[in-house]
Amino acid sequence: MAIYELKDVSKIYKVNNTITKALNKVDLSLSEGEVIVVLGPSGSGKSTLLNVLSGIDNATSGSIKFMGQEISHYKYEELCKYRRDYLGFIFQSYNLISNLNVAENVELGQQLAKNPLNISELLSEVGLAGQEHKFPYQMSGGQQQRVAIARALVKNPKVLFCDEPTGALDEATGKLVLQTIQNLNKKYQTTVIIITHNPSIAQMANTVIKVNSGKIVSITHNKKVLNAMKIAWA
Amino acid sequence: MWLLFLNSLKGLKTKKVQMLGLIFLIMFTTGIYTVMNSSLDRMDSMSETYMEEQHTENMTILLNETKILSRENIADMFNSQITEWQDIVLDPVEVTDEMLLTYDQTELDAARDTIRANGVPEFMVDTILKQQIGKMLAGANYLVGILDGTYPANDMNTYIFYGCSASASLDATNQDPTLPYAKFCPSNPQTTSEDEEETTTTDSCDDTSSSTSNYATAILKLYSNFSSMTDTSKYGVDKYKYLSIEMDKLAEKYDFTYVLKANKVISYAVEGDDQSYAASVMIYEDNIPVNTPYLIDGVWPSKLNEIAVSPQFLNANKLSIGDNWNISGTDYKIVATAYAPDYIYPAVSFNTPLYDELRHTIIYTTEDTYNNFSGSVSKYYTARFNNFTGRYDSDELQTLVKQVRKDEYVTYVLSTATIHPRISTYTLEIKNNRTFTSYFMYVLLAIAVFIIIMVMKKRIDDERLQIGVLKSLGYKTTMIAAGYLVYPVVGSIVGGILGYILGVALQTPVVNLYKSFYNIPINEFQFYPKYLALSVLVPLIALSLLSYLVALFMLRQRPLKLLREGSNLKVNAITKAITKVTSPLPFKQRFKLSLASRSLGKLFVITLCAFCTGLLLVLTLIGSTMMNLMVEYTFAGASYSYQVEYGTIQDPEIIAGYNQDHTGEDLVLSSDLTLYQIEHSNGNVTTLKDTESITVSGVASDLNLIKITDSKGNDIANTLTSQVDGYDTIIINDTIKTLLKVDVGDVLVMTKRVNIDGNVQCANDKKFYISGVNQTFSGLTSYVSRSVLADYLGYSEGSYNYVYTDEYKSIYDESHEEVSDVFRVEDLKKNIELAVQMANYSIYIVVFFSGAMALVIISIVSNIVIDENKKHISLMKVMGYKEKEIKSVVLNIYTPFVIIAYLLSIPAMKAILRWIISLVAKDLDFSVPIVLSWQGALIGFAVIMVSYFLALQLSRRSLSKVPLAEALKRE
Repeated sequence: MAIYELKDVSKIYKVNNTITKALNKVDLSLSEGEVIVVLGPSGSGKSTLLNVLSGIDNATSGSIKFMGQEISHYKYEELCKYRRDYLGFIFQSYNLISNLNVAENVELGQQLAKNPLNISELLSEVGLAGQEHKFPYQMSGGQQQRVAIARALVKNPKVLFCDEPTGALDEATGKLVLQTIQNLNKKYQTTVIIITHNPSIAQMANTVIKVNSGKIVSITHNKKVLNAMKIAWA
Repeated sequence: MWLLFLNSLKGLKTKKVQMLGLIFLIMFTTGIYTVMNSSLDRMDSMSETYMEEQHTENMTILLNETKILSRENIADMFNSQITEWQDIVLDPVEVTDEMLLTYDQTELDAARDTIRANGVPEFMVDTILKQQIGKMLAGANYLVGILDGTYPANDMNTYIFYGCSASASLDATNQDPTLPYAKFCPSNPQTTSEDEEETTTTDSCDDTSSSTSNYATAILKLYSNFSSMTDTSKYGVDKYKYLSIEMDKLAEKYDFTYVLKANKVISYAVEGDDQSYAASVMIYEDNIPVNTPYLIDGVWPSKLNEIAVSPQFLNANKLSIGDNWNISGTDYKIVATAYAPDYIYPAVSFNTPLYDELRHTIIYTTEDTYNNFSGSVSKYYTARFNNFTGRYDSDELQTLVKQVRKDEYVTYVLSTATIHPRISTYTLEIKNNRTFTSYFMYVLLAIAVFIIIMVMKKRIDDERLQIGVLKSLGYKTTMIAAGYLVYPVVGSIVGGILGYILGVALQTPVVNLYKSFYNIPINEFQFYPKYLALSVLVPLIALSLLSYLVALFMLRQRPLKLLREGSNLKVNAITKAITKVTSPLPFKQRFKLSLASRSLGKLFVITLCAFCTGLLLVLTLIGSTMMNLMVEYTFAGASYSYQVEYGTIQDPEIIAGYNQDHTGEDLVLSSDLTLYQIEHSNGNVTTLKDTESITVSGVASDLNLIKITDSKGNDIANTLTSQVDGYDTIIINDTIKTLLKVDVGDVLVMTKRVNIDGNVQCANDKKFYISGVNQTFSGLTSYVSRSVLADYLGYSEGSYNYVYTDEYKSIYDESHEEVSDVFRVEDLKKNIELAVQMANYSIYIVVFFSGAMALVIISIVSNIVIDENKKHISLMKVMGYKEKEIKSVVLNIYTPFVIIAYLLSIPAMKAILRWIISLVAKDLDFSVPIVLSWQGALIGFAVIMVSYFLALQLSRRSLSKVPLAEALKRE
């Protein structure tokens, strides 16, 4: 089933007299439960695509349907509710609250959920069992990212958006993080949408969408999905 | 370095709220500094010029009259009117040969020679000599009889006593038959009796155990009577024609010019107003060399019933020059408005000490008109040094005044600018306001420093990577720190200039406000460029220097550490501790507390701000109730409407017209006694290092109108009827209890101290057992049984000098000979209510100001908090948190600290006030009730919380503006 359906979606920015088409009449359909990688160079429009899909920003025109529900005309409060109830986010810079320990950072996400997952179990699944009382500054980049993953997933979202999740990590740590995401996708059937400029990550995706200059260049459905630990790092 | 500074300057765009808040704070600080100091400078220069041009007195002089007035003077004043002395038959004293031997034989031989020279035969010489000595002793015995109470202290005996003890002039002796004292006074005019050797010349009462009996009190009675005889018009004497001769000598000796000033204080009713009006009436004299009247408008009075009044009185009563004003049934024409230079603070009556421009005025008029007014007359010498041109509050002037004070013919000198209340009220207010303004500025600048430090720290934290890069490139810390001077520099220059403009704009309204209280001619607007320089330079230098030093400290880290990612994420020990301690709390509370603990500096500033605001509010709220309580306690349950004061003790044995009807009234005998020792109930004895003068009022136990109650409202007057442990009882007031640390059960050891001609004498000790504490707070006052006090002072049982009544009788008319003052309770109450009303306005101003300052400071801090937590706010928005939820977590983090800080400020301010009062009350002889009602506490709480939440509300907009995309930004 399509979790997202985009038809003729555009996002245009006007700065003084300059018009920038960050997204230009995009048509797209994304299946539920898949790992989807959106690939493109810097300025290609992939972040804009993430923004309109996740409700962080509104599209200038076109239709965006989430699970059959039109969300393109949602107001701020409706988008807030949409993100709260259905989405999880992982960022390149982790965005952990430095004054909260690991458990509390995950609890930040738990507070939003009606039926949250168990924090301790989730932390075990991301390989951080026993680390509940540590603070972010006491952890490596990879560990911090895994805390962020736990925080995003604790509310059992329908979709997990990952914005350059391995951008600040080395190869080994990056693969570990990707594997964690992959495992959780398999376990919870959460749709994962990864925005990246790293083509290696595409090897672990079910669907790879290439974006350039605001347009979908290609959509590829991988017949073979590699384990994250085995992908050839670019 | 310049580039870094310029870069910072451009970056201010993103710190608009913080910068504006800082500018406002400095503007406010320098604005108040400028307006107060420029207004005070203007007032000061106005008053200095005015006092110089109008020859305002430097001092008021009270002469030692009994020393100056000679026997001839006294004889001259009273001889023709008091003739009963001639009818006194002295009991003869037989002088024996043995008694002759006790005299100086050389003097006796000289006396014998004088007798022989008159042709007396030798065998009669000693007989005549004995007769002469016998007569002299008889006279001396009569004199002693006046002192020991054998003969009453009436006018005649006062005349004889002072005639004998007055300074002899030239070589006049008691042998001069033209003098009335010839048969009374001892041969040596300085010797009164053989008891003279017991006279003490010390200043203290250390030796009271073996002191004289009641000579001290007798002399006081005679002194009081003499003063009454010379001051009232009963005998029509003019002692000043004699005193002025001495004043002329003093003026030449100390080089000053003097004037005998006379004024009448009148009190009258005006239709439609239940409060009395009062005025100080003076004769207008052209070219008077001291306290020259100042004409504002119109012409000086020259005809009968023409008057000049103060312009405030004219305006308040909606009058114009040319209008008539009715005083006690007579119409007076207002021909001018004027000021009196010795009435800068025009307190015309001590019954209503607070100036009321509607009801109080000075009046200048002609001599005839002045004589027709009925009122309480005061006459005193005012003087001004001829060759002194310095300031009225200079040390040099005080030195000159002290010299005059030490003169043997001077009893007391009131130094105008520092003690005379009608002038010193003004001079001291200027001095005190200046001090307050300076400290106020320092406090606000200190707050500004904290704000700058917070803003800088945030910026340094945000820019740590850039700073690390700059350091790696070789930029020194001192150069990088210069970039952060943009805050104090911009804040000081912009805020300082705006503050100066604000101060200049407000100068005239503030001066006009002062003018409504003080009678000084206003001058033109004055421009004080120095305050522009100070308004900019003081904050610029102070804030820049401090900020620079702090920036250097904050930038001390090595480049590598700064460049390391996550170097800003470290959590302090307090946060870790809070995390542990708060683990049982709900997530939201834990999150708030962890955010609050993240920056202890901001937490400190907010808490300190709330605490200081609380202190200010509590001080104001306590102050507002203080005056009301003092009035309430002072007049608690009092049924009397008038207090009539007599110039002399109304002793039935002395006063001829004593028998007046006082049914339903309370008669009081009041006198000051000196307390020098306390015998505590626990057996300890305290001897006071500095003796205290206590006003002791003798009353009956069955009072009609006066109420003497304790703190619970119980009537305790009946404790005066009986003795306890053999001591007569005394009821003290709360001030005595607080200042001297005494209570019921202690014994006060007192004496009557009399200073006559610099010679201090003490009566016998009198011990009183404290039987109760009366709830009044002004002065050191007490109550005893009237008969006990009369007996101690040597008066007869029915004596009194005050009457408390609820009905004004014509016998109390102030022109009556014996009455010196009539005090109307309602006038004082209303006068104090006026002050309370004025105080209430200043309360509103203080409440508004403290609320506004709290608002500004909390707004700035909240803005910094939002700035600091931008990423977190954005993250929470992205995650799906509603704005309301984010606001309640991020913005309300300081709420419990603000509440706790305010609650702590209540006991803190009470303790501070108690300490201040313990320091000042000793000199001013009053204690005040320190009470903060629950309503007052709630008002203070409301002001703080309203300011706090208003500040948060203002910051809410900033929170809404934080973009969701902030969370997506890569670091």
